[in-house]
Amino acid sequence: MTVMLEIKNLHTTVGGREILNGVNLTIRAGEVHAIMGPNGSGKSTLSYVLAGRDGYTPTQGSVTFQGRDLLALDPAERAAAGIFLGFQYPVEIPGISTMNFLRTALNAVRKARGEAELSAADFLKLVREKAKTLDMDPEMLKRSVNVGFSGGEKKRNEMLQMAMLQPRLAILDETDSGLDIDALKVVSHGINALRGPERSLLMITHYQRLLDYVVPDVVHVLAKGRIVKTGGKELALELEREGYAPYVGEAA
Amino acid sequence: MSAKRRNGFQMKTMAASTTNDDKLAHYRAAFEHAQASETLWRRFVELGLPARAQEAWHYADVGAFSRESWAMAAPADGAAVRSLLSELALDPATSLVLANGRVLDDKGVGSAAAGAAALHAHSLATLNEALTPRAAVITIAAGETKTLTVASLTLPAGDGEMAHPRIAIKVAAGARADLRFIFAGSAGKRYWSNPVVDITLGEGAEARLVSMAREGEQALHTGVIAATVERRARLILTELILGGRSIRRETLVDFIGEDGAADLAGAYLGGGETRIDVRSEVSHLSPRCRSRQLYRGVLDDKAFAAFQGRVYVAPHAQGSDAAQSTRSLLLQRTAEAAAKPELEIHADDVKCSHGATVGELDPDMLFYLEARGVPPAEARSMLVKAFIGEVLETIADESLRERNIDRVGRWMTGRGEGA
Repeated sequence: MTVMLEIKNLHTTVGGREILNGVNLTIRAGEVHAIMGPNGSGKSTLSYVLAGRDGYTPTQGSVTFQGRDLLALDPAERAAAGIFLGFQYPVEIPGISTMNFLRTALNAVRKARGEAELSAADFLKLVREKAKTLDMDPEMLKRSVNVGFSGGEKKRNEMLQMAMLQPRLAILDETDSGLDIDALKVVSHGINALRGPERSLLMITHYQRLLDYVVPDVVHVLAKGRIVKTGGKELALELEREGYAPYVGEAA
Repeated sequence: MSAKRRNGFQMKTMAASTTNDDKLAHYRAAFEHAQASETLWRRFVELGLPARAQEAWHYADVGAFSRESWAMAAPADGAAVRSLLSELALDPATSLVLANGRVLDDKGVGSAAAGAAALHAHSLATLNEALTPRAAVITIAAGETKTLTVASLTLPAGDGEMAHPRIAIKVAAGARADLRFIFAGSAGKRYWSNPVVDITLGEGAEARLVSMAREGEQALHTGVIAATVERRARLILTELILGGRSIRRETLVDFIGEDGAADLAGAYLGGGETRIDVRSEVSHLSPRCRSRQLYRGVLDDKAFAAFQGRVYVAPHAQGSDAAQSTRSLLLQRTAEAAAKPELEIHADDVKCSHGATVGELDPDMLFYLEARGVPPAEARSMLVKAFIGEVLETIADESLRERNIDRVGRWMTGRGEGA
């Protein structure tokens, strides 16, 4: 299997404090990885570094995505290259309709990938089809991005964006947080629909719950800015049973 | 209509007028040339040239009136008028066009002394009245509905020329007016456009006005819309300010009958060293009138904008309801915005509110858009359009609204933002 993402010795300082302290991680095409860890272990920081957020520039190390130097790209270029970050807290944008947001994003990404922009009719057809699989009311798409959406609606909206953009690597940051069991099933279905030999997933989660529905190939434990243990899906269950305490100790 | 309530204009004008004597002499010749009445001259002298010490002119580019010499612009060159009209996608056959203050094709010309009381207390409106005795007159008869675009173009032969376009509108009882104003002019010349729109809304009338000002980048603009609103009449005004070196837009509303309504919305965008001065004065002179003011500014580079919103409630104007909101977005820290609400309330049963904020583009929103593949410049442009959208949404006509949203997009593109 070809390598999708390779992180080597990644160090990142945020606000003067070292949060990532030498992360090494290789994800191959078609694999689903989960990163688990206690609060404050650096999980969200890792997702922001990969997506290219301002203020999250690594101080050391390298990230290669499909053979390209990911760190040389701005966030929009990373999205066009096939990176998708599912936000833990999706942002509300008053005055921009969800529909307009999706069309602008999709066409920007298609343009950057050298594909033709979708016609209004084709776009509408696609977005309605994807919204339906996520059990989303098309009326919601007329509303401003995430404004007045419930927690579950916001996460569905993230999955809709992912389904539209068809990324190569989706990084899902606490996608299960704030979801009731029905919403969790719908969202999991959206994630599983994206799985395939050409795509990879990196799920960042505190709890094992989501992993019952989206079963990972590899599970990592992140503690104090480092991956301290890697195993199969059974590692998630072990963590659920025994907690993070042993690993916090190990990394110290 | 007491002089007292106009203290913004009048309180300090006496002191200011003596120091302005020398500067006034310059305008004397123009008054004589226009054969303006002695009454108007005396009013102009009494009001004095705008000075910073006068509250109403505090943020105005006052030096331009006193330090620079302005000559009346000659009739505009026909080819230049046609070329600017076509650039603005305006059809001269269906629009009312004023060029250098003169109405073209003699469409609806008449003499028009200031109707709105507020204009009698306004120095530059008085100057306008004196120097342009013939106004464009639009009358909408009782029960009628009229849609019209009015273009005021300033196309001087050289620098230092001024024009005083004058538009008088009477919307009779129960009539409906849908009027679009465009203020534009020569790209590179230093000119001064001082247009006055004087509109009266009869009982139960409704006027929707959309005004777009995109003057040349060296231009000085000092425009006033004065509305006299009778019983149960409603004014809906949307302003877009996009260009000019120094641009002042003023809206004066007098509710002279009960149960009137005014919805004022304005968006102003400034880059470079543009100076924008937006002022409103809404006078609740009758009971139970409702006013809404929504202003949004976007400022880049070293642009400066001030919003001064004044609400006056007369002692007997019980049940007045006035709300005002102003927000500014600074695209760069070198830009500057000021907001100054002024409330003067003499009645006790009133609802009045105001709010003002200044901020920057939200980094979380920008990152969210960029993380979905929207390039940074386009993301900024989207957020600016969304911010201004609140104002432009007040335009009922969809195609007109879209055209103005596109104008905001092009303004961002012109600043090197957006696709």
